Amino acid sequence: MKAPAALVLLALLAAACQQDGRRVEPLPVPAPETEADTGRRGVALERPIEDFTLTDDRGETFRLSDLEGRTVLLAFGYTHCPDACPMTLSAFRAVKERLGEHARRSAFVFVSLDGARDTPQVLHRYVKHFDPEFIGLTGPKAALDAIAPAFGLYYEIRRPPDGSENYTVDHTVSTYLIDQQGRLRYVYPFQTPPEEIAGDTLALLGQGSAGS
Amino acid sequence: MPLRPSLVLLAVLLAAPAIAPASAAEPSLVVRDAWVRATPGAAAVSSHAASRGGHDAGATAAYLTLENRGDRADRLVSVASPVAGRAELHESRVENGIMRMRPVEGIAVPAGGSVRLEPGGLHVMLMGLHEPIAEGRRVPLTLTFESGATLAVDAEVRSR
Repeated sequence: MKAPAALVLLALLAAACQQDGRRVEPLPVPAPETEADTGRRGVALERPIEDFTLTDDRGETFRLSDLEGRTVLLAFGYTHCPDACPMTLSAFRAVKERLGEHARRSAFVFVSLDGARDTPQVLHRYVKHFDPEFIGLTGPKAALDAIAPAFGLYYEIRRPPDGSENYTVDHTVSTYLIDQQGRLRYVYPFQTPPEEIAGDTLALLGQGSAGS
Repeated sequence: MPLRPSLVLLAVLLAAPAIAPASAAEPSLVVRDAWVRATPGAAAVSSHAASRGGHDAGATAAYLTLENRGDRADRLVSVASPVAGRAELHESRVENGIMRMRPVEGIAVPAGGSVRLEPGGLHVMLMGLHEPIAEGRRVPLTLTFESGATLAVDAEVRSR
């Protein structure tokens, strides 16, 4: 017998909220529009992110805590993504350019949601095309699902009706800025101007133009 | 007596305008600024992929502007390219922070108007690429419209 969809959804939500016995507050979804009063698009917050382990694009074990002391700009996607993901990574490149010498205290991370096609080798070629220092991460579904609540991450593989392997992945397309202590500080909607992200990163690095 | 190849060619050239009278008129549908995004890492894998027949070199997108200078609305219904196993018309749309990409039935080009296929919106998705697409080359695209009109264009490859 098929359970009503609403009940299934409720059960899923409850499961997500009770992970590790603690309630995970849903992450605010940044509005696609520019805030009229501030001209900003990112949403500021301050939320510790529990350390996680994935595999990097060299095939080695990677922990978020490996990047402690650096700011981390992070986004999710997949390498067969023809439109949005290259736009996001081109924006990462533009942010990095704007950081100038401070870029060495920042990391740029692209997390693949398509472990079946994105082997570390494939991911390596992909991220390095945008910048030799960008980091690609991949991992089994269980590992991705474990970190999903912290980022308000949704993803779903969409197979074409012909059943071919040319599938796409619907996914959360926000960009996340994590500070040097591993706390999530900003969530940016798709196509946020790199200037805004670079400005926030510099402020976190104590290089804010606002005179910090 | 067998005809000399050059004579055959001449005959074909002379006959061509009669075969395709439509081409004599000003074309009402025009493609502008057609480009294909280079596949990331293309340079590194091109020889590899070429040596492995049927290797999936990934997917990418083509963008262009369609202009309809005629007085009848038309509709782009399909695109084909020799570089891809399959080409589909897609639209990227962000809803609640989630990027959803969906096939679209066709793309209307209003009479006297134009439509842009651009990053983050309407695009031609090139899937099952036979080889990586590197910057500097050109990618042939054939566009078919509801009216039966077809347009061939060589899209520039850009890395961005």
